[in-house]
Amino acid sequence: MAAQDSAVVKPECLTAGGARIDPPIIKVEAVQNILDVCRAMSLWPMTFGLACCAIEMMAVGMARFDISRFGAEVFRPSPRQSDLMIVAGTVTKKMAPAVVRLYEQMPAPKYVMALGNCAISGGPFRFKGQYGIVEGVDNLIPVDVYVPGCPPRPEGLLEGLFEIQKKMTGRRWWPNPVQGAVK
Amino acid sequence: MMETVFDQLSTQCVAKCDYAKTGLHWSVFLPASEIVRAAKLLYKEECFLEDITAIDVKEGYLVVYRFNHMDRPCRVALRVLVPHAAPKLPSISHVFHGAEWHERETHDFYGIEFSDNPNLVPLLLPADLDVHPLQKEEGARASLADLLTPCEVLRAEPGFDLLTPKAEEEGKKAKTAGAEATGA
Amino acid sequence: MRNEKLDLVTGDFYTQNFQKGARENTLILNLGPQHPSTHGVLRVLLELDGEYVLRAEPVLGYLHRMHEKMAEVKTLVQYMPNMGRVDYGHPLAWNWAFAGAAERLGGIEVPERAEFIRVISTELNRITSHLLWWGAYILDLGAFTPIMYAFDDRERLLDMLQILTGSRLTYSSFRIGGVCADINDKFIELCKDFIPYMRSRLPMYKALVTDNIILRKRVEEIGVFDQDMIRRYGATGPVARGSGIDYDVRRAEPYSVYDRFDWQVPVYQKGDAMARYLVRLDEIEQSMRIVEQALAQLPEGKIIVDKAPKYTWKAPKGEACFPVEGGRGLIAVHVISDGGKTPYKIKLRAPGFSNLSLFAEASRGTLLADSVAILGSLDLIIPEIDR
Repeated sequence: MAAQDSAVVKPECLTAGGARIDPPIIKVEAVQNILDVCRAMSLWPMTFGLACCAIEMMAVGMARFDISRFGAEVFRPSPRQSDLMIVAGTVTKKMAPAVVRLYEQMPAPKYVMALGNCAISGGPFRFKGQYGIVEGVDNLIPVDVYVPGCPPRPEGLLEGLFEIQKKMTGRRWWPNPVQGAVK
Repeated sequence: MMETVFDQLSTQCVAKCDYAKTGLHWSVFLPASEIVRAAKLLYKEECFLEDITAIDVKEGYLVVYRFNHMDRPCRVALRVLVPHAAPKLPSISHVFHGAEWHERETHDFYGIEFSDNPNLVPLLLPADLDVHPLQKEEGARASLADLLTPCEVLRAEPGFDLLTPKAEEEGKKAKTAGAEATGA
Repeated sequence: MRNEKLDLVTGDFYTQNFQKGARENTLILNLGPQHPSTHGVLRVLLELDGEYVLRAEPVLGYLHRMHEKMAEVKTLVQYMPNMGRVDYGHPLAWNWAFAGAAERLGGIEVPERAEFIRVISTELNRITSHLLWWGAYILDLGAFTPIMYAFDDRERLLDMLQILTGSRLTYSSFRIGGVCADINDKFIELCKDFIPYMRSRLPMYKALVTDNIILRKRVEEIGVFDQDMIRRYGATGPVARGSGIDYDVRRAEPYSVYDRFDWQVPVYQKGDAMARYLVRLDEIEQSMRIVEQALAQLPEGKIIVDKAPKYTWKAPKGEACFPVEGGRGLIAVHVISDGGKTPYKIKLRAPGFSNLSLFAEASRGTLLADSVAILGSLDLIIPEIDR
């Protein structure tokens, strides 16, 4: 479906974290690694809030959970200016062509986070006799990270972001939460 | 106040409902030809339209219009039965403009045609979905009397039997037949 | 699953349908379904003459999640989580509308303490809903700061509601017969801290935002709805109260224990977007008054009726609804049962559906920026409209 999904992938086009990008004109691995870290630390998400998970996505952008600590503060409405599509909410069959179109409008390298149970698998709206939703956004576009929850806590979204950063750069950059640290 | 409105219509049945049990004050059955007049009278009374929906029952589709009043709260359910084979009704969207959307939604779910609705295209469903999802299978439909909470019928047309429980009638017939058979 | 081919030149079905009535030399523009204002997936087809909106048609269904169809496969007790997701702004009001209808059908009486807990949690939820609306509305109009303050206040409320409901956003904590969790000391402590804190914030919001000349120019005299228009479309809630109609379901069809508290229904006469704005801000203060009084009068007792319905509970046959006042207006869940395992039909009467239907008429002849201000003043939550 998308350009990234070509069957023939040369091994040189994989980053240390396993993500694929178009091969550069001049390839120096050290430079590519630095660029990957720069990209990972300044992901620009697209505001693609569909349903309830959108509110948790907004809460992540606000002062308490503050996604800008991790670089992803600049939510862009336009897909042409963003590189992370956070699908937050249920994708209906009526909305599906728009989702695909927006994904195709994003320039590579682009990443997709399926936020919430609806985006992962249809969530609570998957039942026998359902006629209106797409059971998981990965039926439409390739997904990099799945964040379960209905809705997931903002901390869950942040962990999803860290997984994408790990996918891009090969390692997790932020400390693991310590059990019992918060009183 | 509402009774004067119902007096001016040729209703099939006017029933007072138990508000504490159902949340409804009045339940009025009308023929399809009266619904626009009823809407105009309720508009003059300064009522507002809460919603329009339909119930798929054995006897047909029962289209329910719920009206209320902002100063003197009074929930009125106008009920119009249309047959499964020809579900057609006049639209009240020229009186209550908000009805346009409610009728489109009812059309989406049940396939009911509202003639002279200005824009009867799918509202909630995708434009290419050719299914009316809330229609029931033949075997799954219940009779109307088995669904509605019994209410105090003030007046009804002769021959109006939508609210008479069919199962009860048949049960009575079976009992009397059985009693005769055993020679009681 | 069919993928609709979007022809870049002629547009999809709705665009072509809309174009049938188009005049010469006008621009047909799609606002949405993905757009930066946070109403959700709403699409509005606009016919523009320069900056003026000649005609607008909202296109719905992008978040139609089949709640009414799902009612046919779930038992009444299993259906409660749906009510948390119909309207993520004020889910507890939907919880209440549904639990109340089921209780009416089953003849179940809720214990007094549970009624108080319902009132407290629903009013706190109303405050979160209005704060979310307020922050998002000002964001639509172009200001980035107030939403930060609003969400900060909201986080305090969410901590409180988490104690009562276990969730942050999509609550389904009401049960048929009561509620699922009790008020504890931690909740009372947080609440007693929150109310004076919020009362000290509201004057700051007034000075920073409400009295701000830029906001006033954007919002005053915009989108005037007269009372006849409100009635023709069935708009309720702050939309109606901003046009001088004193209609609040908590007063019109009193339910639960609201009649024990001393509180007012804010009504403004002008009917413009500013009046609707002021109604909602005043409702925040009134909700806090109700919560204070409810906490003071909280009786001891059970939080759920004995032998509360389990998931196999079958409601007796009948039809019932329990209208409540949600953040957006009159909410009614009509449950029709034939005595079987699953309900025969559930109809969700969403206030946002009726509120949005007047947008087509209200935005005619306005500037594009003003039509966005009108849309925001309606306080739309799309999953409630699409159900």
